[in-house]
Amino acid sequence: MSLQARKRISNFFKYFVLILVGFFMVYPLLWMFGATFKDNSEIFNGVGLIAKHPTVDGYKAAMNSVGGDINIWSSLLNTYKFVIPKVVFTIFSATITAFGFARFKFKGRNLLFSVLMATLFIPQVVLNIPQFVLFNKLGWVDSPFYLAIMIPSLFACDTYFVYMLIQFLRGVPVELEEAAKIDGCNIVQTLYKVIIPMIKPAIVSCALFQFMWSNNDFMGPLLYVQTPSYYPASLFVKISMDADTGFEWNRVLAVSLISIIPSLVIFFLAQDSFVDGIAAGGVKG
Amino acid sequence: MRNFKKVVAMTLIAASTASLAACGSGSKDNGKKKITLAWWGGDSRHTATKAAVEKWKATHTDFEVDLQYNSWDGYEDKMSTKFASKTQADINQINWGWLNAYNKQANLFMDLNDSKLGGKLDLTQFDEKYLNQCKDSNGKVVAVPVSITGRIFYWNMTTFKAAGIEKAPTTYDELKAAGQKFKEKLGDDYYPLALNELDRTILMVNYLESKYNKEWVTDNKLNYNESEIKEGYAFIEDLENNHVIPTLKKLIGDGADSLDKNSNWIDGKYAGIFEWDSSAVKFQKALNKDKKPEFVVGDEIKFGDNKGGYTKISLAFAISQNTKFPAECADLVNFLLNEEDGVKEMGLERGTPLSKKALSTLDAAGKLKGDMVTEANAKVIANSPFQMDPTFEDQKLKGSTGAYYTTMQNASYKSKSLDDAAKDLVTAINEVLGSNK
Repeated sequence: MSLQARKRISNFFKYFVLILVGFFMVYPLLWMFGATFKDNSEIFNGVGLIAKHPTVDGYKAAMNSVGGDINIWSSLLNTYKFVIPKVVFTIFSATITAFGFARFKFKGRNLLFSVLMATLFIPQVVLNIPQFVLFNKLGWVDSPFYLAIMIPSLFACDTYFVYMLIQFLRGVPVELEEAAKIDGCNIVQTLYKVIIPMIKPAIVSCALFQFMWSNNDFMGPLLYVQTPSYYPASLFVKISMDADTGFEWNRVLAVSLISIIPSLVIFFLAQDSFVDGIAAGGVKG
Repeated sequence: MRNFKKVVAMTLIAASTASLAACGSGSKDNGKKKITLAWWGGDSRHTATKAAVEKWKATHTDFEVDLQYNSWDGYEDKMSTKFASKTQADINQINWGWLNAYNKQANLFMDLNDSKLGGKLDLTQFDEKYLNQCKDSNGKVVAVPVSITGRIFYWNMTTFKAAGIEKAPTTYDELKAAGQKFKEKLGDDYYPLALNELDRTILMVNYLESKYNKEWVTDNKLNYNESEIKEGYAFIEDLENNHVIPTLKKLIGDGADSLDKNSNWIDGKYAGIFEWDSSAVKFQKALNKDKKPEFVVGDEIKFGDNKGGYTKISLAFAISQNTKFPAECADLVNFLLNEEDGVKEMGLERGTPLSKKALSTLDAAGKLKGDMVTEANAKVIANSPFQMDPTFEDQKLKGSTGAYYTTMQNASYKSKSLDDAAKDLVTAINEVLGSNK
């Protein structure tokens, strides 16, 4: 057997295994797409991809507004009304906070840092009620600007990202900053011109994680958004699901599918930096 | 350093202007007084309630009604947070069990006979029996019951006919005979009835009540002893042995979390369910239309000399203690439940109404005739002498790791004896009753 033939065979097996495993991984997503064309009885009756009696009722119904207040498009718009600012705020506040903790020595730093880390371990459920009371007093509940959801990220409340950036910053040599200082940079310039370009992969993964998490967040909007016309997509998907009288699953699946498209697009666009960021974070963290 | 400070200052300014802007528009003033109304439900309920509220607003032009509707999923999380912070809506659609779970400690809802309501809410339209169930610990009516529900049999007659049975079973013997016939004629995969753990428990209570004619729990005390309850488990085992119901092993093996998603129900292999009258539509809709299923409401099955079974209030409206406009809230609730214009819009979206006025209005409008939920509801009311104790649905019992599930599984898998199953159930119930004092 020639070398080339051997290589071909080994490639064939490599790809065979990869495609096989990949197919199993992506099957649920494909099924979801296929199921949007099935009716209820077919959805629960098999795991095939192709609908036997294809129907587009699911998509038609997905376009209907609920109670005349909200439809899929306005709910998607609502989602991005708070997700995009939230991502921007998070990057901004988490970077500054991480920079502060990683590079400055100030009184009580260690204590503050352990407090910060401790908040990582508090489950959200415990916070729900006190937070709700606080935000309610501030008048942020049911605000058309989603203040209760957005503002906390302006103050680096998403500890996980601060932690991730600090770990990343530890791998960045201090000498670079010293060199920048010698060249006449002040602190803001150092951060902006030296640090941020260095930790860009980590920042991108923070942004993407925050984007996905806030997109999928159900509890936050559930508590802080009361008026149906402000509902984001995560609530909209559920709003027509009536446990008592039943509902059309193809509609729910169609709504879900439409609402994940933007996230998928963004993920694919940012995929390179994202994978970079996770890998780099893994090595250095 | 100065630049850094500038950035921080700018951020803070941005944040505070944002919050100020929100304060201005958050209260949505435009000179109107505002009432909030919260409920859960599906699409059609949202639309109907909205239409009814619009009609009320037409005669109350100085009022704005903020509608906060949700799906059932998440509604309890949301409401419990609001109850804990006492920021509940002015009018709340509540699950009846919440009166025990939340209102008991927190005193959230208004006494509906309070003079502040200005007598606008006509409670005489509701049966005393049901109002009594909506009392708080001080004996005041704090919620108005909208509808009641109970369990009843539904049959897929197409399968019964295929098995050569023309009439749905009405006695225990007929039921057992049906099981045998299904097995002989249609095969091992066909069962006349399918019951999950909770269904089994409810049917068991139903059976025991019809046998002994005493309520399950009264005054925080379980009225049945272990040996009586053991008979209940034996009854369920008997159903399994006679091929009336699939074993839990088989049912769980089907891989569906509820019967309406179970392909054996969809295809008619399981030909009966024991379900809430209000959820029948869900099970009917689930059936495979290609097989032209004939879905009917069953009659009571006689398990003993008496009637067994209970009803519970499926949902209720309650007015918040904190509302600024108690009289108008009462007026709106009354409009939705008792007045012709409101009732017609609301229709049967919240089940067959308990209000006598609403029932006669809907009957006159021809909305009750031929409606399956109404038919089932009437049968439930006629056949269920008892009312559910609020602790019956305690999560420690009803939850998926609760005693109803574990004891029924132990009995069906034969991993414990029926004596032990009965003993475990009694222990669990007494624990819940003990903590309810």
